[in-house]
Amino acid sequence: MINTLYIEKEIREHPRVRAILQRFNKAEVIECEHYSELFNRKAQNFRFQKQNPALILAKKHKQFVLPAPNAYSIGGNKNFYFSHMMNCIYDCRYCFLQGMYRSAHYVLFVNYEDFADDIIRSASEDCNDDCYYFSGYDCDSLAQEPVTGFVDFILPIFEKNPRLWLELRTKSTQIRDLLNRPALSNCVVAFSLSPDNIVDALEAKTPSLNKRIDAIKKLQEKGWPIGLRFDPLIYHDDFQNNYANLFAEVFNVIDLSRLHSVSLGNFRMPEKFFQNMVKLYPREKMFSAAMQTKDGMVSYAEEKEKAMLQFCEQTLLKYIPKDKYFPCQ
Amino acid sequence: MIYIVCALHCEAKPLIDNYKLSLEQDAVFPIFSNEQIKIIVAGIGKTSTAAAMAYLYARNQELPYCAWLNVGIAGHKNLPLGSLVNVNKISDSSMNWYPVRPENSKQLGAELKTVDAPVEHYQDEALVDMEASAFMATALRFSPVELLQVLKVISDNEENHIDNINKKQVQQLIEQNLKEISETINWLQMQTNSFVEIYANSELYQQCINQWHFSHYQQKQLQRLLQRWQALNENPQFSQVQALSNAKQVLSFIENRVNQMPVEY
Repeated sequence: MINTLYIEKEIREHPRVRAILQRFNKAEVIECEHYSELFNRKAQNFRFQKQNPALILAKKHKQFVLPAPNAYSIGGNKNFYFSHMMNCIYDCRYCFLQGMYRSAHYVLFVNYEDFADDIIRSASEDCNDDCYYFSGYDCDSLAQEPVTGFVDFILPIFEKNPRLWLELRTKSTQIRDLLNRPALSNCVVAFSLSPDNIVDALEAKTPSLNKRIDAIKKLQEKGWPIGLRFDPLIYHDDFQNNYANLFAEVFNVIDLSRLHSVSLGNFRMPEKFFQNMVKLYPREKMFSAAMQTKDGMVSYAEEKEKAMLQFCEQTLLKYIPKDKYFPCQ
Repeated sequence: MIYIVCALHCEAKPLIDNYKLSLEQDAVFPIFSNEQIKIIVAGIGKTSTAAAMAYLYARNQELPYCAWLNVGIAGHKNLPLGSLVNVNKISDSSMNWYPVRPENSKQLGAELKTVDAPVEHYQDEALVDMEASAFMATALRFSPVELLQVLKVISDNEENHIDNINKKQVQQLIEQNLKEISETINWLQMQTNSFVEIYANSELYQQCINQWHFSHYQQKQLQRLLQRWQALNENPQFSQVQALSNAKQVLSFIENRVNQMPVEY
């Protein structure tokens, strides 16, 4: 539930703003000049804000589509990402957003058309290659869809341009709109999955593993290409059993012929983000395991990291062909 | 600790009486306090407000995670006299501040503009005062925005000019709203308690600091190691380290122990 809505003065009369105002008609509405007045200000506590985040409606002015980091790929060479929203309704303890942002408020950029234009523009610079666009970088791609309608807006762009691929990265079961429209072969709905005990301990407010698997099943039946993202792998004492059970459970249900890709990745975090996360949650078990810092990145101690990745990779490759596997680095 | 900032003594008086606060001796500004609350009477205007808050903070800086509340009167075009407003936006020149609204608050929320001198005409829907922007700018240097609140009681509007109001009336206006002001103070107290619970050092930390000499860097190491030790489901006791002879040994003992502890979910 949103109790407070901040709206940039410039977009007060935007049709999407009016629709959202109607939806949250009991929320207190406060006008602001620019979202950064709230979002980027020092002296705010992400953890406390997360208990009751406000929604900030804003207009993005530049950098709608950005090149994805080099290692970010599910089969293409031209990879981009975009974020129509910042922050997420879920509260996963390992999430980098809590280390990167000062505020836990949600920011929604309502000028979707500018994102669409920039997608087309970035693709036209690489007219021959397939281009891949990742949408779930700074938010969950589907969790807020009933409020934002962004996916509904952006899918037709990809429908008209089969050379462009879209990844919707999610833990959400908000799939009704996807089920109600014809599947797109160039739109991968990629679910982040963790063992049940990790979901319970570290993925607050997310749908259970069973519900996510159920959503995957329904989407596959409708023809949507599915991605599976086991990222980050979380080290714990019984990780072999728990990850082996997770893979068994998932691949017992998955239709391999409609599986687009699978990724695995260890927990890794820029040092500065990790320090911020520890400051927010000083007595968090996950941040208390033995970690190492290498080249500015924090990860589990080397032998633990190696053991976990090796085990999970070997187990995973019993279920899927190698050409569907994309390790995260 | 809750720090309450008022411009005038007549704004502070109902709170001083209600919470049975005593005047602190040898203070540059009038400060009234008990174990949980300190009220400072800052004087009118931004400079006085900032100076008083800085003074109060410096005088009590050993207290972490203190909350700040600005209570005072303000003008508005047409809100009735005596209305209590929980200010949700404060503007001054080109700067804006946004205090956090307590969840489920039923208090009226509105924007406020801080000005340099009393105004003759109320131009828009915002309240007008002479202190709140300085309050926010200063308080944010000491505490996060989640520990700040600004409450204003309407003392003048287009039909009741500010020149017609006297100290007694101001005191009455605040008194009328004492219940709601106390609710905000209670909320701030709860917020402060939560901060302390999460972020304050453990008793064991204090015991170690008292027992051995830790350099500043070692104090940080100790703090983090103890947090990890507690997080990994053990209830560490001073007796486990008591026999060690110096800070280095203590840090080494705890680090070895923590790194070998199982991580279970």
